[in-house]
Amino acid sequence: MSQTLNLVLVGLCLGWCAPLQAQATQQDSTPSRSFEWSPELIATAEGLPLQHGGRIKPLRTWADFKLLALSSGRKVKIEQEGETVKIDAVAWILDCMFFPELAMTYPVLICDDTSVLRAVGMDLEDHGRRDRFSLQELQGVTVKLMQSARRIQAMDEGERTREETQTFDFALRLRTLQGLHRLLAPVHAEISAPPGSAVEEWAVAGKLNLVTVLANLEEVRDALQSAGEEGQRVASDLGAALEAASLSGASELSLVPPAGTRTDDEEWLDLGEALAAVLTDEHTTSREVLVALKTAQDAATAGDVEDLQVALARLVEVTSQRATARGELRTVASEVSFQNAGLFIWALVLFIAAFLSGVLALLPGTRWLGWSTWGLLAGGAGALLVGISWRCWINGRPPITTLYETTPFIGVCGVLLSMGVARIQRQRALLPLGAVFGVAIMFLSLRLEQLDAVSTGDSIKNLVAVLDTNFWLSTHVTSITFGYCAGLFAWALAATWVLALPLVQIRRKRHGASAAGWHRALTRSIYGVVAFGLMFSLVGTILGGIWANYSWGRFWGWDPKENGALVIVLWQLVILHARQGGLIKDLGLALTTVVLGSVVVFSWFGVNQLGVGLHSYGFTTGAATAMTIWHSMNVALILWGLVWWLLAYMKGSSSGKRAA
Amino acid sequence: MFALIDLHSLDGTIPFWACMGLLLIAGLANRGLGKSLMGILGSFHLAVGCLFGLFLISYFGTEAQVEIGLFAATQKYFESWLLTERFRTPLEFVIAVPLPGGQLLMSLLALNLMAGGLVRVGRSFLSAQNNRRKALLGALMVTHMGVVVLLAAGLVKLHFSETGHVTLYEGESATEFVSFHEWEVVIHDAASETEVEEWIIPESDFADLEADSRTFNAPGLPFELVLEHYAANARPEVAGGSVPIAADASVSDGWVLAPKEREPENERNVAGLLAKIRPSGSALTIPAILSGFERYPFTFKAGGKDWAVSLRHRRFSLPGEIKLLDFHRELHPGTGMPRVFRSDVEWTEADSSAPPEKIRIAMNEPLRRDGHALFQANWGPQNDPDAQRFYSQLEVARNPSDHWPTVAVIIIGLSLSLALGLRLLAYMRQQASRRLREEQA
Repeated sequence: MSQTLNLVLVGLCLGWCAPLQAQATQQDSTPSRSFEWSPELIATAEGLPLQHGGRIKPLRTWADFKLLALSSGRKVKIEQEGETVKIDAVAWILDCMFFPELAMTYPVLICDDTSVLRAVGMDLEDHGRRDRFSLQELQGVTVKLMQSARRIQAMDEGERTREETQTFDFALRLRTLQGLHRLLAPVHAEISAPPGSAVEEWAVAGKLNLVTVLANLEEVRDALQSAGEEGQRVASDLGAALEAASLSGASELSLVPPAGTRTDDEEWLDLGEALAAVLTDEHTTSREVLVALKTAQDAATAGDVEDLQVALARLVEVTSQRATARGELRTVASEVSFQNAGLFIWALVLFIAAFLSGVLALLPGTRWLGWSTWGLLAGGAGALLVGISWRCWINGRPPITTLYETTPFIGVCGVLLSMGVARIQRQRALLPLGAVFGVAIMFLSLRLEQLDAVSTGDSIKNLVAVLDTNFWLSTHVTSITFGYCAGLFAWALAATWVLALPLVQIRRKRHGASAAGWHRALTRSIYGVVAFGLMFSLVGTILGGIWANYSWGRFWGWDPKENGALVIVLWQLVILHARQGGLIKDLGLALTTVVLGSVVVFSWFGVNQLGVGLHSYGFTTGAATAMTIWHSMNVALILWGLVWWLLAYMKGSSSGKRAA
Repeated sequence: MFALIDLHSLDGTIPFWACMGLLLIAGLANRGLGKSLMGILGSFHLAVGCLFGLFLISYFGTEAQVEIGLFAATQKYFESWLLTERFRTPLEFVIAVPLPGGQLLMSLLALNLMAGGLVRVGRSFLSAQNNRRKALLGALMVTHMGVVVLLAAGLVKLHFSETGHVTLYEGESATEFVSFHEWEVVIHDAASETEVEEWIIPESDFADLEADSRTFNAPGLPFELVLEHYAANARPEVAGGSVPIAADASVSDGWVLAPKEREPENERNVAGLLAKIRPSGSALTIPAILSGFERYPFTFKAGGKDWAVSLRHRRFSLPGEIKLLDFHRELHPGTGMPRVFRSDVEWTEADSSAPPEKIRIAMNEPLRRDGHALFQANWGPQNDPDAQRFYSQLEVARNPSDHWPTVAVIIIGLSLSLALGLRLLAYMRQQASRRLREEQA
């Protein structure tokens, strides 16, 4: 009989029988939480291992990126007892799991242009043009938004207007947020068990929770067997509820390591699959995870923080033990520390401080600040180096495998390059320039990280088969990226050279032709950095060809990404040969190096925008406007330089002729 | 196989390289016209001009791929001697600018490298008094030599390589690989049940026959074959059917060969042409449409035998037999992203009594045998989640300059590092002595 009962349940899980009868547990009608998420609770929960995007990661990473994708921020600002407080991503996810009705009141979802919401009839009196919304606020327009999204989905992407694209993206994120509030739906699933029913013993307030059934499966089975027809009816209800709960538990969050070895079965189970696995495979880990979650839910609802702490710790222990046995938990704890350390943010802060210090150090009598500038720059570069190395260890890959990862690498190399050039040229004025370079690149890094959060929900990603080679990633990709870095830093030097032309002219008028020694030092630096960059760009490009020969059977295929690398090399060679042959002088060197900045950005981002070629893993969207601004800025710099040269030439200035 | 006419190698580059080689040798004599020419060929002006030209065509050739595809853009910009670039102005006025093509620019750059980077720098090297300067010039010379090796590798690849694919289902084997782009007309004895002797007409002999016709014959063939109306992309269609037929369509036996617009992805173009078969000693002409779409060859009688003629992608011999034992693919868990795809194959050397080898071919792990390299390129069916049997596509390349780029990168990497290091050291020494002078003053 017990086997028959199991089969009935399994059969029902597979969708053979009765209609859906399960209902999610209704929370208290007033959304509230009687306790704060203490640092201890957060620390326990954030280390929960899970599988997402093809890799095992801690809840901390998943929650951080989920929040970044939905709200463009790293904290949620909420009103609590009349005060505005900020909660972090893990606390927000815990609220989504254990207090979904409360979490629905959090203004999480960012809308970049609220005219999208006005178009579906939302009253926006208290909101700005770009604002965040809670699910509760959006309830009235959700249906209309989803209808619009379905209509837009049927259109070609190229045919969509800007507003339609924004509406579609917003609806997608809204759906994602709705899903987060149903994460524990399988744990909440229950059936009606009125007093006197065969399962009354396990029911609470006339409701029988499915996890409770799974936790006491043998006893429930015996009770149903001995209850005759009534037992069969309850078994049927349970089967239907399990089927519905299994479906409702389907999510991107896979919390349960499977029973087999890693080689046999790599995919972790979501909570819906875990429910089914308890019945079909008698999967112990699934049962323990579900019971721990149910216990945590009960403790959270009751406001019992101690029990909640114990239940969360049990949950982490169960999954961690199984994951360790499968050899999958190598870096999860370290990744939590990495995310919490925020090294890249620290680097950004240190670079900003270095810039301020470096600028002040140029004033008379503040020479001592020069040392602090060196220290702050070194500290920022150190934070980046540690952060990059840490990511390498977590990922088991060389420093650059994605577009996002190029930015911290370019940031640290650019800052170190600036320090090296400043040391060789004995020009402290180059230090603030290095700091600005670091700040700009780190801001770009934050933007790319957010794009990664939206597109894949992570910045540490798995690689497609063709990229699965650490040798070529660490040689070709690193060389090419260093070439980008040198090209961009040379651009920064050249842009400074061009912008400083009026200052140089004034100093020359006042103090004679030899006054602007630092300007000549800048010229020499530009040439040196371009030459230095050429070596890496050229070697990196040829290495890329050799890699292509090993992967695709040809050294060079004129693919856009290959051509992007080639045009950098060619332009660097044009600059160096033109300078060496006397075809250009100081101004020509600076202006052609400004063009190099555009060439590098074309190669770095521009070729990805074309949407063609074999290197399809580098595609990005939405960079077109930023690139247009960048190229326009370079055109303005060139015009600025040419105007100066023309003025100097017309005045018959020998320096103007010489500089050209 | 026996080729009727084979003109696919070396085309117009021989006269160019011969002339330039003679001029270079004259220049080496360091006298008269040769000396002047050497000055021009080895000048920085020519170097900058070639590099700037290559920069421009690389940029235009990259942008053009969005519109015309990789294959057409490669032919137009990088494998050409001259090209015309059309620019659309804001007032819809089109300006056509002639530009040098990739072949011309790379050839001139190679000469410039030899004359400037090797001969001129070499002379400076010999006359340099200072050992540090000798080392610097020597390093620069070697760097330029590395780039010459790289360009030479490209030239050899362009003219002497063969590329294609072998596509096999598990359990199937092959001794040939098939070109991705090139076509050939093949004639053989239709009745032969043993090894077939084939007469091949390569695409280069009929690719220009869009408006003309050309007659082919060979000893042993009891007929002449006239080929005409070649189209790089064409479809056979029923004449007078529901599909409107273009005025220039070629009609044969109720069917027409309707030319279509070229697809940007060249692999999607399917060539077609019209054939007229004239048996020897007969006034009869047998018309036939040859299309890359056809599954079976066109058959006819001539000289008392059955013959078959067809148009197919060009085929090349492999230096052995390859059999696909198993194709395996893996996705990253919970995603649709491929992590691994690989083919386990059995390789049997041609004309060898050695037992077959079991070899694994995966991404970044090709099989190399007798100058041929086989790479994991593709697999299928990719859109059928229930597929029980997979095919694996292996790209095959025979390239005599396969490893030259590796040699080049070692040469360039080492010599350029040395040159830059020496320059940096010299600069730092110079700065230090300048500072010393300033302090003493």
